[in-house]
Amino acid sequence: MKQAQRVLSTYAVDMFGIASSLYELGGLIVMHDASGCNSTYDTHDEPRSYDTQSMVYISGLNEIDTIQGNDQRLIDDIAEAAEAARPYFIAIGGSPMPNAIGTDFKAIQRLVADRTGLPTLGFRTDGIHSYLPGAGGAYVWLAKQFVKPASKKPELPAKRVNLLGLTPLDFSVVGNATTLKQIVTDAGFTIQSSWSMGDTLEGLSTAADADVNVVVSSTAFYLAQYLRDTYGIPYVVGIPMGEKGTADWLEALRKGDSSYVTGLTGDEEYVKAQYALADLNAWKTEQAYDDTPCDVLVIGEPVYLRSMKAFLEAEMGVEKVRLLCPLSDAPQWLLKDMEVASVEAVIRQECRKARRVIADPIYARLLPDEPDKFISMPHEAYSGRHYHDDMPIFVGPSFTAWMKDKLK
Amino acid sequence: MRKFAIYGKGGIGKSTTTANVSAALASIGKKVVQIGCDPKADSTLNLLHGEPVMPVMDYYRQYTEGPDFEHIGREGYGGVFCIETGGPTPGLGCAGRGIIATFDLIDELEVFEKLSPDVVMYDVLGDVVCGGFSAPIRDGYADEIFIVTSGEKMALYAAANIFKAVENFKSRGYAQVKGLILNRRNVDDEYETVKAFADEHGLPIVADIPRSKEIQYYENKGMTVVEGDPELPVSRIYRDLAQRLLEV
Repeated sequence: MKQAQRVLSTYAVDMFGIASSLYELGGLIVMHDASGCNSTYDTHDEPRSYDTQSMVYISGLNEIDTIQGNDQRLIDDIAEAAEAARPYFIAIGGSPMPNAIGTDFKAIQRLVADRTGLPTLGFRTDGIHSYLPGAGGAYVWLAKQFVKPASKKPELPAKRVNLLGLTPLDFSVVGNATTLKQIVTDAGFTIQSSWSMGDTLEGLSTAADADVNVVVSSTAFYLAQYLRDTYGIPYVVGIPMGEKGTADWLEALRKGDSSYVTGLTGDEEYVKAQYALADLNAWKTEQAYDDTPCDVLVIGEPVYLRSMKAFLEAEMGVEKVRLLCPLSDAPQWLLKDMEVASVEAVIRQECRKARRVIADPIYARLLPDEPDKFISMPHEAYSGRHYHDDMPIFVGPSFTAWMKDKLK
Repeated sequence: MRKFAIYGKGGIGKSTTTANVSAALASIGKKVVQIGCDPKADSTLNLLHGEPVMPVMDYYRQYTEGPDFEHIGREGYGGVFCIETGGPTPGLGCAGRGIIATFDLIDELEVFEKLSPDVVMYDVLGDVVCGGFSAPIRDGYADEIFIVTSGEKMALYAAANIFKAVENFKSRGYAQVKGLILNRRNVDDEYETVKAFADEHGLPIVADIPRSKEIQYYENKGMTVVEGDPELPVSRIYRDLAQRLLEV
């Protein structure tokens, strides 16, 4: 029962990652699953569904088709929907049942592409892993499919920037994305492309002309590595948080400094997203971590964690910051030097050791007698729309004042 | 890199044939990886002098996580790298899914990139009972299929079923059947019967392996006949088959 979540929630799964990363790009997104309604996937973790039309569908997988491994109905339905909706591309991903029977999404990709003539992604998600490798795989596919050859070589100091990994799952729709873009353009950069809020397929197709890629969530670390290997574009990992954090982040962009908040060299070996999805042990069970207390424990996604640590240390004067990532299927290069745990008892223990905990408010349920210990930072990929109203703008200089107030 | 999948009725001699072909390929200097895709996990036993490699599914059961590169397989006769998928406890779980999980691990550990084999041999359970057992012939795995059969009615029936299943998968980009391997059981008119079947399906017979007590003799010693006595006529037949596979 170690893996039972009694008070905690689960993160948006791999298929959510695909749906979220492709949401605005005019593709038909099909989740191969039993549900007849896509609200469980779409509405709860997709705030854009309120005001932006989507083409996210569920296949309505039934028991007899599962038993018989009948993919034909799925293919026929997709072909019919594509005929009516005329999407730019089709993306199909799976859920636990197709995964259990070993559905061949690569074959479905081939059959759908042959039938519709449209670029098609068949990605073997299983509804068990997190949104990180799901979105990660979708981004790399998009790049391989649509990015045009570069018309220029990347140059430093950088001027043209690709924003990679920008989805509501990590940034919501409360103004973080807009602020991020504003910071970039106010500093004199040109946004070459934005993966994938507020851009089009045509915009993304020019990404090879950028001077630097900035990875703002680990959903796009795979993409950054792919673009580095294919077009020689360096990457910087991090979110601009606070006054100094924003200045440092912009400086790292100019220099194409991959070591910024990560200590990476930028030459790390490319690791495929599907390897994370194939890991049968995505839920780590037992870990023994440093038993000493810390000033602040931060829980969340790795790029956010690293950026928050730099911010807390440099601007808030916090000496001992510990990071805990419950997403063990995040890119392994980004998980170095942080704790990885998804089991309630382990996370509760880590929270006990900390004087303050910065995390999604659901984590406060772990220590109901210590509500003041927790600083609420709602994470769309974790608590969905539940705490929308409490979401701060954590991007940019204004975050300094917000956090100072919380840490009083 | 050539990648072959060996199919056929249960008990027809797929593992014996595969292991001897692997040994024969190794004896002419080829680097070979043999992957047993059967819960019984006995495909590579005769390449390992009877000391079995721990099947991947057994490793998961024992350690709750997959093996690393050092533990996923082991070198046997002639440097043949032996991997067994294994499977769940009989009567439980899903053996086909176990094959897929093993293949995922082989990809993730970049086994082929690290070993750079000339040939990969997939030795697959007799009946393609579910999606998992078609995994070895999916896009990216084996490119060519050979079916082992005798002249017995049920062996040919199974061969016909495998052929039909593979034909149905053509549009999926799966591997295609490239030939039959006749493994004799000494039934009447055996060659003629199998030849008629082969002609009907437009397939060549790439080897005619006689029933041989020497095969059994060396298997009892935990080795292939190709290793045990390379000069025997049946060993020469396996070497010819290995050569033929490379030429098909």
